[in-house]
Amino acid sequence: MTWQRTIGGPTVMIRVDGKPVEAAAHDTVATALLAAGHRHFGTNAKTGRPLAPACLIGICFGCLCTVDGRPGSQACLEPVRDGLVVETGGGNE
Amino acid sequence: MDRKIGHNAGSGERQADIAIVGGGLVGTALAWGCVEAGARIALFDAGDDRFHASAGNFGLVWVQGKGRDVPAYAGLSRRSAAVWDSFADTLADRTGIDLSYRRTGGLKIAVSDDELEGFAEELRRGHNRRDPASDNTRLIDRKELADLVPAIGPDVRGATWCPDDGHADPLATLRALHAALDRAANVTLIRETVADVSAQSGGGFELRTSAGAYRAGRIVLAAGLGNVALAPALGLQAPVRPERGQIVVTERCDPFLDRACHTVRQTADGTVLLGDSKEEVGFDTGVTRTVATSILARAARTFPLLAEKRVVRIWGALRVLTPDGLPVYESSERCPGASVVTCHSGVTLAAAHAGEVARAVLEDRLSSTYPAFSAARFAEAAE
Amino acid sequence: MIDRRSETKNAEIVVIGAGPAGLAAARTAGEAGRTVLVLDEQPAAGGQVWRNAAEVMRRSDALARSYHGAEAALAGLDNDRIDHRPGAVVIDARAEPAGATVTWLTREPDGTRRIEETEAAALIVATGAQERALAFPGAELAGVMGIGGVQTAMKQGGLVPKTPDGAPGLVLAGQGPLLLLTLIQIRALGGRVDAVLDLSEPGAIRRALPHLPSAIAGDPGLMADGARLLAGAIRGGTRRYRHVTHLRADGDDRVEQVRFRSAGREESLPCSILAVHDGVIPNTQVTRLLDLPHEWDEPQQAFRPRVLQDGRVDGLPVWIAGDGAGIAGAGMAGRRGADAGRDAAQTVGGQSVSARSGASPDGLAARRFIDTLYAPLPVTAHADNETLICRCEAVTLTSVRKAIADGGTGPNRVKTFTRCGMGPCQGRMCGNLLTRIIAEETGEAPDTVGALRIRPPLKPVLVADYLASDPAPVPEAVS
Repeated sequence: MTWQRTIGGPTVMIRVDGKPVEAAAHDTVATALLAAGHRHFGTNAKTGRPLAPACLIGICFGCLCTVDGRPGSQACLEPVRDGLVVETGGGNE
Repeated sequence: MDRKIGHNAGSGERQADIAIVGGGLVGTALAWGCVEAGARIALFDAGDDRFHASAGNFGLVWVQGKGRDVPAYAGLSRRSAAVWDSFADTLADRTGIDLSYRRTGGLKIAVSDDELEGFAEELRRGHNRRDPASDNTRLIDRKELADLVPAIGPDVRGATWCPDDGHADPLATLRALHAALDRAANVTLIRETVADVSAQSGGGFELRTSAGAYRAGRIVLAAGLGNVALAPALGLQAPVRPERGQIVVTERCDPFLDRACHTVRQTADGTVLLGDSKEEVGFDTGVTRTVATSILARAARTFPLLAEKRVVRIWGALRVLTPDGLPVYESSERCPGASVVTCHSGVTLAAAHAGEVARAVLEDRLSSTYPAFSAARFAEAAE
Repeated sequence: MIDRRSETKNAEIVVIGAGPAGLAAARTAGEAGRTVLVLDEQPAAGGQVWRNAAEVMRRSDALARSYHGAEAALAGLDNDRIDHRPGAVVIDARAEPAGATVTWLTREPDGTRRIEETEAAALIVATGAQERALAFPGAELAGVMGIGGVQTAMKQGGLVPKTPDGAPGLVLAGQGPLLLLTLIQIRALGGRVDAVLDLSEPGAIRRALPHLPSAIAGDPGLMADGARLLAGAIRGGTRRYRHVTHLRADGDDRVEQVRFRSAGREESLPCSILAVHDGVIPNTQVTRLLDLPHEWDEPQQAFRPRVLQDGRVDGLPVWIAGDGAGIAGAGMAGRRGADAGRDAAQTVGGQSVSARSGASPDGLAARRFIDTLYAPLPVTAHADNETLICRCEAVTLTSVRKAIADGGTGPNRVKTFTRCGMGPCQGRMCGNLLTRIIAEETGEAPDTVGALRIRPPLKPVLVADYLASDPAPVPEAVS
């Protein structure tokens, strides 16, 4: 794990690649994935190489994944909520 | 002006046999054809021009339905399509740039029975007028179409099909032409907008730009919509107007459409171009949601898989259209040595422009070779 | 605040962005009696500086110090005339002398999307800043971030980089106050920074010194903050490498080590995150989409929209507020936003409202000093031939240079030649680099070179979203 959560508070449960993941209620999908130890988000459509967020503010498009069935969502702009379903490009084992 | 662009630029050369005005697909194809035939040319290229038709091109090398009423146009389009592969091969050979040209056959897909009946009627009219043997476009039903393109949706009824149609990457084509010219020995590339032109009293022409004046023995106007302002000074007419076509491009998709198709084209990269709207809005390259949505609705009805793809970009490109949509190829009577070349099928006709049309320019027989494309036809129509 | 269901589609003023500038603009215009629609793609108001404000101020003293003024600014949204829409992603905008049209994608509570559109008498663009891209080998690898991204992880998720002892952790590389602030905050939150690579050019301090006295005289508070940052950063004892050149990130699927030269020596450090920073530039996606005139800001090495007093655009009912009109920082952004909001309200309402704040875009006395001290790195300072300029489409520096040699005299032609800027990020990451590289190669001024044209949609939109929002009749086929 690279990122550690330092601020507590209420949590919600989301599903990432089929597995339950606890997220802070104020997380975006991107910060929830980072906190859960996800190293890769989507893949670059041109090169096929794994991507991870660089900016977390909607600029870099490194955090694209499928959120609630919507492919190509910017995870850094999606607030989490209970039951949210996220699919990454894999490669996080 | 000190520029580092290309070894041909900034060489201080201010004289050429032939000046070609316009760095889009028409101007560069003509220029390359002239250079290949041994002429010394100067190409004037305004560069990053937002009204550039070439950058908005759909990329079809398309013959079906073209010139149904004008055999000269049908013939030119077919001759160009016939030599497109050698044109692409030669350019690739010279520059290493792949134009992604493939003669895949082309489809005009109908999404209703009425539409299909309309296509059939058009075909019958065309065949009645001309020798059916010269037009190998035919109607195919849904089943035959599904064999060619399995991704079609349930509303699709059939299509017209022409095996001679194909598609290419218009951006790679433009780049390859620029690269080929940059590598050629007898070319001066001038990255300037031509402000005005005039015939010199002792023969020859002068072209004025913000970087000074240039001279050439002969001049060809191939500046698309820019020809309108330049032509009259040379006793020529370029009765062209902009017609906006909105083009939608999606993210990359897995390959689903190999064939050329008149409103949907999947590029070699996997992105999909959607379009073929027509609007008379002057020099406005903007887009509207109404038109974009109707383009998308048709696309998703034709290929349902597109509904789950993302739109990355929408832009308005300006076609260069004459009143009847056909080219103007004409030499000036008042100013011998000046000619104008304009058309709206810059990709389809690129191979002809680099070949037979360039030869006609060099031999100064544009008007006699292409009488059907004289601008005089509009004056006659007006009388 | 107005319920989002009660249609306020006819708000007189649309504000894009809810950071310090957008909040101040909305508040001022609302207090002047105008109806205001605030569209913000972020999940909550506050922008980047005041991200996740309620949570941060309640739970983290270490971060809350940067949230001065946030509470009051956010409270400004609590006005019946202001309709704030978080999660509203603007996808198109047009402006004419008579008014502006803005199109956006909503996020409904159930996760679905709908396209909405409104016309307004005035448009205030307050889309802030983004980090200046730094081109170096491996910058596209997963695990390479902007330092601004680390800031966001801290503020949004309370996350700090902290790996077990002995495992590779975070390396910071770059220059500027944000790097120092981030270093201090990570340590205050119990995180770990393995090393700091100082990318600033030797001699920058010497060049900046002449501007120091006027900076201290004009902005004593800011300069004192800066001095505290510097002292705090040095006191922490994190390993620091100076005069770093040849920065490179290595790794297969993600960054595993950073290599560089410092003091003439080749160095390499294992890391799991490499966070870089070379200052910030205006985010001009909306102003480019609007086709507004822009001018090159030489010290900042970036374009900014050309504005008159109060951020007003000449000839259009459009105002640019905050860092989007040229970098001046969060403190200035609030004042510039208030000025824009006031002027827009006055223009729309036709009556005079309270006096200006006295802020001007160049009002920051310390600007010369900061700009000189942290002058942006030359565009290819750390790039080699195979370095990606466009990450989305994997376009290398060599390909860009070849395209320029082939007649790509401007960014849009290089884009058509190489696909640089055609990927999902739509040129956000490479646009600034591209203009600077073309300027360098051709010897032309960046103002002459120009910038990538920005087309709608500003963010990719599913075809299904267009169709669901506006079922249009299928047009006749055309030949």
